[in-house]
Amino acid sequence: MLRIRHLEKRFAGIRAIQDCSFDVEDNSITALIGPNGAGKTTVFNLITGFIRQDKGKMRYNGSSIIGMKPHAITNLGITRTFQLIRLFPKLTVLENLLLAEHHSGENLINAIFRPQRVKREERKKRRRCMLLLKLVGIEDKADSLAENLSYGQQKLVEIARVLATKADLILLDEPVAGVNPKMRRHIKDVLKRLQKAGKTILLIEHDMNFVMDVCEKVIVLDHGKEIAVGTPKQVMKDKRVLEAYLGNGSDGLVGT
Amino acid sequence: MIEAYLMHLLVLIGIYMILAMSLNLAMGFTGLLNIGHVAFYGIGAYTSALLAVNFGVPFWLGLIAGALVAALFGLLLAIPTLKLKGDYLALATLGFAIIFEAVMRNWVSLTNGSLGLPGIPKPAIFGFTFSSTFSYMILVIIFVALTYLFIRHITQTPFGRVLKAIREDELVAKSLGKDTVKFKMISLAISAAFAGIAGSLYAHYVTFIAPSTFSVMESILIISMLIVGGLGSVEGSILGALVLLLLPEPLRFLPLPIYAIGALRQIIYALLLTLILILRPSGLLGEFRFRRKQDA
Repeated sequence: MLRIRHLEKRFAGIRAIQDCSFDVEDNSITALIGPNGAGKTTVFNLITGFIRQDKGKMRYNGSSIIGMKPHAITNLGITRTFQLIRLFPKLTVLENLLLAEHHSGENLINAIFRPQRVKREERKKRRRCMLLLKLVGIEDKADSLAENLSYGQQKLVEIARVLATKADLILLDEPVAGVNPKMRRHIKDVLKRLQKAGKTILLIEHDMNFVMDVCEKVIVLDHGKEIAVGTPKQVMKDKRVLEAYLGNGSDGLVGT
Repeated sequence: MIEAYLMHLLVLIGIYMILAMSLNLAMGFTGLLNIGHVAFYGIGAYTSALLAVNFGVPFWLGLIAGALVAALFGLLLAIPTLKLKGDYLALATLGFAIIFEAVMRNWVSLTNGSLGLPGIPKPAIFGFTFSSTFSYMILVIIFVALTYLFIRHITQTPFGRVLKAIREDELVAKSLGKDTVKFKMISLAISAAFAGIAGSLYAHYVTFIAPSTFSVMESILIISMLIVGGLGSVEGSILGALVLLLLPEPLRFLPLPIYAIGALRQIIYALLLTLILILRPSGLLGEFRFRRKQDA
């Protein structure tokens, strides 16, 4: 579904990403892990077009997405969440969801004359978004301002908003960071349900238990390069991965 | 006598209501910190006035031309500046307003420079001339109503929802597939068009315009109206214009020398703004206030 080859990105001479290659398979849940500063979020920014790569290829369903603007990439069917929750705080929960999809009423001419067709579309979208809110269990908050919700509820709105985009490839930046165990189970269920519904998920996460639980494939990134790819179990045993996380002090011990 | 004075006041208040509502679309709904709004006001006024004085173009055509030329300049201003954020956009638009005033002052062959442009005809349609203050007041009230209905309408549609989303978090709006630059351009163009209409109404009312009418301080006054009334509330803009223009009026009747009244007016504005910012930071009817955002 997503194929990345020899990706490179420099920031003021420092190679944040270098020669990074990996694939994300159709309908999989894949984790992107690695120590702090390994370049995980940079990879997300590159895929979604927020920053331009210096070298390398990125293909989505066979066609190159290099050089495309963020909104164009979103319209291809790739969407993302951010590390910290980023809702539109002064809009209602329902409005937050309604923004997720293209809406013919967003065209100025349609907005001015508001034909029946647009009104029907608005009603249909509202119904669909209410269903999504029901799915994540916060339909009673639909008309509250997003900023008035609790942290956990806001996470759910963010996930519901991702669902509302109808994207096929969903990039989640730390979906369970800072949420309580109950909410974590809830989010895990939601992700599994998404997979059943045919979505592909690529997620960044530091919580290894969550990764072991949810993902069938793990990509380990260190210094901007993938150093291991495999099932969670394989990756956890990989020597290079242990080095990246713990340093190569153990090597020295064995060596002498 | 007092009626004539009140009607005159209402005409001016109406024109400022249109200015405040139109700026609100760009600033209160889309989050574009535009300090150069007065330039669009001036562009509308000069376009319509020059067409009428030099070519005898009727008021209605001049008004439409003023709106279109202002919108065009809105788009032109948008191209280099809309990648700028917050404070930087404010500086760029401030520069635009200063350049506009300087050009109007120095392009003497076109605008008659600082001496101003006299003899702008009163508007006439179907043989009826809006020469009395009363008829002009009705004309302005109609335009205030149209502006109000239009801006309120589009801010309540899905289009307006995207504008608000851009104001709240442009990066997320982009990540949801919105072409934010396009939306910001349209917002700025509509905002400029209505300011142009206000300018045309002003020019044909006073029948004389000069560059000093469109100084940057006017922008500050309009922004103050927005802050008092509340950003992101169309009704707030109407209230803000009313409060800021009516409040200092009773001063005229105090037995004070002219120069003291001018200073007192400024003091009242300053006090009012400070009080509002302390007691109701989002304005009398507002839903949103500018704050520093963390951007990724």
